[in-house]
Amino acid sequence: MNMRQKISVLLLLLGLILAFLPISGNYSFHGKPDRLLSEVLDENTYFSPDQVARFVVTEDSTVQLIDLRPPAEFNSFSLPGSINIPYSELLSKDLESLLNRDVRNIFYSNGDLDANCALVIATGLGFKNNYVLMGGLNEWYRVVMNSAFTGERITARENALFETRTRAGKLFTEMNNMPDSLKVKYRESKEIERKKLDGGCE
Amino acid sequence: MQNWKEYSLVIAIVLVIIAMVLVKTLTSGHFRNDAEKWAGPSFNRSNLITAGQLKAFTGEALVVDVTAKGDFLKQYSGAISIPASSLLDKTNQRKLRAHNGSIILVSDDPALSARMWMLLSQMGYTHLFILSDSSDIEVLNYKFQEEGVKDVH
Repeated sequence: MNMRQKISVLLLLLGLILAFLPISGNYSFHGKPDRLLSEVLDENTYFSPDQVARFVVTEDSTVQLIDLRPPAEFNSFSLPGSINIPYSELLSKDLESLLNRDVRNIFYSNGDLDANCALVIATGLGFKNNYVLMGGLNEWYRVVMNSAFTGERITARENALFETRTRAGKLFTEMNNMPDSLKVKYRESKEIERKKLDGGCE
Repeated sequence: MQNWKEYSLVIAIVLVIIAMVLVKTLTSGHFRNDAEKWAGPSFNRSNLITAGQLKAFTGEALVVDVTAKGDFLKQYSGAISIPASSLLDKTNQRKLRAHNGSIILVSDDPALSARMWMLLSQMGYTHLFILSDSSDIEVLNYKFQEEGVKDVH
């Protein structure tokens, strides 16, 4: 093969690589739509407010709560232990460090729209273990914060649910009533704990 | 003629590459590049449309009921039923691609509508909307107060 032919082959290989690379450096969904459809139709990708209340009360380290609301709303109040990734900035963040961890990512917003869109985005980009808080904070408030028992008798299960809701509600109120400086320290300490569990440095 | 023969292998490879690029670009059954661009309308809620806005809609709108049982077919004239689980079937994809106008997804579950919207949008669908009860379904109906919770609605 002479020099001209070698250069031609090299240019062709380069062209082949460039033709199939994405045009921008931005994230793109992986895999086939059929597979993503079956993953996002999985009913096991939802957690109820009661389930999330239990995670909050037990400070479950296998769960990462992700608040998708704007920073001002997050700083006003949030579920204890949450991190904030504003939905509109989701695809401009370093998602590898935020989502690519061996925990369950539970997305939430005020309603269902942003959290479910975020779930599809995270799953489509290849991240695993993605869930949403069913009904968002509106449902959290309705079920957990406004929990009240009415009736003459309570079953053991109802009692357990009511207790978890009460404890979660107290934690929510206490954490969000902290002065901003203490809230920041609380969140930083949670982040350090998280990094320790990941095997990272402080 | 001699040069053509020398480079016949190279020309053949170029033609194969061009064919592969055209197939990838022009076929519709895959995700588009740049997820942020295709998710864009959801960031500013321009992918939502209310029933009132739908009535006033002047363009060609196809209402697609993504519920399992077609619960909304009677409510919207010309609506079609495509259960979410069948959304990517070839026949249904052909129906959606053939429509020259807006596609409005409707469901009794906003979570389902949102997921289907994002999936289809990432496949390159434009003028794709979610039918919503209100123009902003991400409004919090409660207010956090030190003493507890206040319902603002």
